[in-house]
Amino acid sequence: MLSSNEKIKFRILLSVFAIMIPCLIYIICGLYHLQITEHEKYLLLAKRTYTATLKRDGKRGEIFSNDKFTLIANHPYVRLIADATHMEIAEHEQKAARLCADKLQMDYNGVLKKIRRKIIVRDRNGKEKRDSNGNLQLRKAPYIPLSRELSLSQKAELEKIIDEQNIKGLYFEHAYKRYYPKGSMLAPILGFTIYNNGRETPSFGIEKAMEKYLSPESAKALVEISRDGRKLIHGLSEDLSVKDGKNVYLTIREPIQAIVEDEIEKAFVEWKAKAVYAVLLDPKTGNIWAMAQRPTFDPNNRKTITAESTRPRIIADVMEPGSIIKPFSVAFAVDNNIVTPDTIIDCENGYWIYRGKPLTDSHRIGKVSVTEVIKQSSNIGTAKIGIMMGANNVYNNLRKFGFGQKTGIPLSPESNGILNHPSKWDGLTISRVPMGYALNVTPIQMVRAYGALADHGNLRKIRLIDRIEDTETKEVTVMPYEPPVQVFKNPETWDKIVTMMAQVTGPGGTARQAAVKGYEVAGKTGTSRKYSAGGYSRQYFASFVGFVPAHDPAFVLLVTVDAPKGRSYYGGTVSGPVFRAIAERTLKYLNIAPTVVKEEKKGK
Amino acid sequence: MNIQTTQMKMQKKQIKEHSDWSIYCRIILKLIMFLLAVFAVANSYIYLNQQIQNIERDNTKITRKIENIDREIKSLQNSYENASSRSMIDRQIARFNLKLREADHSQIKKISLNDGNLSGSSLADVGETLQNPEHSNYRRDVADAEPHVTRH
Repeated sequence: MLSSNEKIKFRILLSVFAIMIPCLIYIICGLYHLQITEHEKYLLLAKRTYTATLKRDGKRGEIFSNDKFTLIANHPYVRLIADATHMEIAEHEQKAARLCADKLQMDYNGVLKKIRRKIIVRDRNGKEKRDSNGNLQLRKAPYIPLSRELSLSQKAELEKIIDEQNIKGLYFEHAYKRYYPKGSMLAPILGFTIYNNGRETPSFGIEKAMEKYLSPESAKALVEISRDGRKLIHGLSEDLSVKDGKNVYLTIREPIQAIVEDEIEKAFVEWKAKAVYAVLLDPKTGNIWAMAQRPTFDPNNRKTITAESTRPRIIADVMEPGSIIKPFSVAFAVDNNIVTPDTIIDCENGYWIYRGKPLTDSHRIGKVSVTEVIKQSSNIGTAKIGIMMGANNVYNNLRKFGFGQKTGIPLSPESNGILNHPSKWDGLTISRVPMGYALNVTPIQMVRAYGALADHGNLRKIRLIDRIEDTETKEVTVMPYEPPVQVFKNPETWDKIVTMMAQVTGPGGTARQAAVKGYEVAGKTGTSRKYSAGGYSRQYFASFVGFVPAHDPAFVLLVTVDAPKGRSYYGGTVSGPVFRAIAERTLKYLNIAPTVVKEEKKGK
Repeated sequence: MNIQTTQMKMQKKQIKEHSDWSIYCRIILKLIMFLLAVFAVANSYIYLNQQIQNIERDNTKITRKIENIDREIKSLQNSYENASSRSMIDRQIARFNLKLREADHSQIKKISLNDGNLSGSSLADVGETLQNPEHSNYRRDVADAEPHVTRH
């Protein structure tokens, strides 16, 4: 039995518990509501205050030649950045400005003005903040780019001075830019990028064509920031796993490319030409080993860039090819037994009227064999062969060799060229097309077609991209080789055509200057008048295209000089020596030994 | 009055007081030990956290160093590519009038090694193969080629 005192004590205790326990329950429920039920909502609110989203891009993929020479690289550079929030007194600002003026040749007052510039304070929603008087709130800028690109050695020098003089508020920002270690080599083909909104944006060329492989992936991550917006080094942060772009390997072989660039540069200067271009192709694979043009530019120096220098002439420029197209019609005629290499064609002593219009030859020849027609580059002889073939055969044959169509090279803008259907021909066209007029071709189409002539009639797709490499996994994807299309019905046709074309650089041929000592060269000269608005001009395209060694070609090479000025404008005189120089050096590089050439002795 | 009863009551009271005190001591001791354990755990946590932060700081420093070195390597590689480009070499040859020229065909010989037969071979097998050319394509390829000679 409890005493009265104990009863009172018990009642007091009970009353206290009766008040405390509900309060406790209320608190626990409240905590549960805040911490568990509304957890996500408040966590989000808190994160918005103490975290920021950091975005970083990976590095753009690089471009290499087939033999792993770097053509386009990512080059590290540094920029000097000022953080005015760390420059508490005027002396700090002055020291920073003095350093920029002394070491970077910048204007002292200009730098000081930049550093002292204030920026408007904004809230999370981007709205301007105002003080109690309604004035805009201003603060010092935390990020002021001061310098252009600095090299790593310049950065090291500046860092030393900053440490020695204890200059506050300066730091370095690392970045990468596109760099072209080979200068102007292959520049109109490679293209270049423009730095735009924190990314390298391709403008044209391989950079643009292979954008989906070269471009990196960016990553975003939440990082913890301090009150003044700086990333906390040891704060919470997610991993920024960016993915670099893939590396692209071209089929270009750098030493051969250098040889071609060197020789066409000499020709460009010597002939004061409007343009010069050359394409060197492996006929057995369709791989382009070299392609070069003048004028060109140095992408490391943007001041050298002009509309003329960036135009991708080899794929976009069209020209009436002239005599270099003659072997194709003759090949068809031989393949279909319309003529043989020994068939006699009357070349009318260099002057012939067909359908009321005259047709002339540069060399007056009479009745000669088809071989001589090619060797002497007779327009009349070729026209007669074309007439024997018929318009549809002439047209279909040229289409079979790839004319009037894109080559599949992964560059733009590529021209189709112009090859009209016979239904659009007038009565004269049949005589003009086989000799290289009334149609337009691009240099790349011509090289591809000659690749078929060089490789037993196998017409291949042009390959410029060889393989793609993943920079992280090192996995290599080789671009496919498409099976060739055979253009000849008769396997013996090839040998006959090559034998005829080999005469062109032999004694009495039009391209003696393209002959390479110790090797048999099969080729064709071409001199075509340039057509402009209003008619044919007095300027010419001087071309030579051929392959060497003739019966086992290592490469096909086209050289074209646009509007040469000087002592000659003929393909054999202007482009022939360029062909010879490139071929000689390339054969040496490829270590292809001279072949034994039987010299035909005249009259013996 | 019963003195024995009073004395016994006082003794009982003393014994009771003594046993109450030991209970309190035991409770307090347990409490102190519990608090000490909590303190030890908290201290260890703080210490280990500090160690982690130090290691992370060092890690960040080393990572930055590696990145700097990578950048320098890349810069040097690009400089090398530029310096080794054909046009640069040709310019230097012309500049210093070095009178160098490309080799003629007769000045270059190459040998090619056919390693197709070497896969899975031991060194001993290779050694025997080198001594017995009839037994292997490898040696035949080498024997057919002339030695690499650069004559000037």
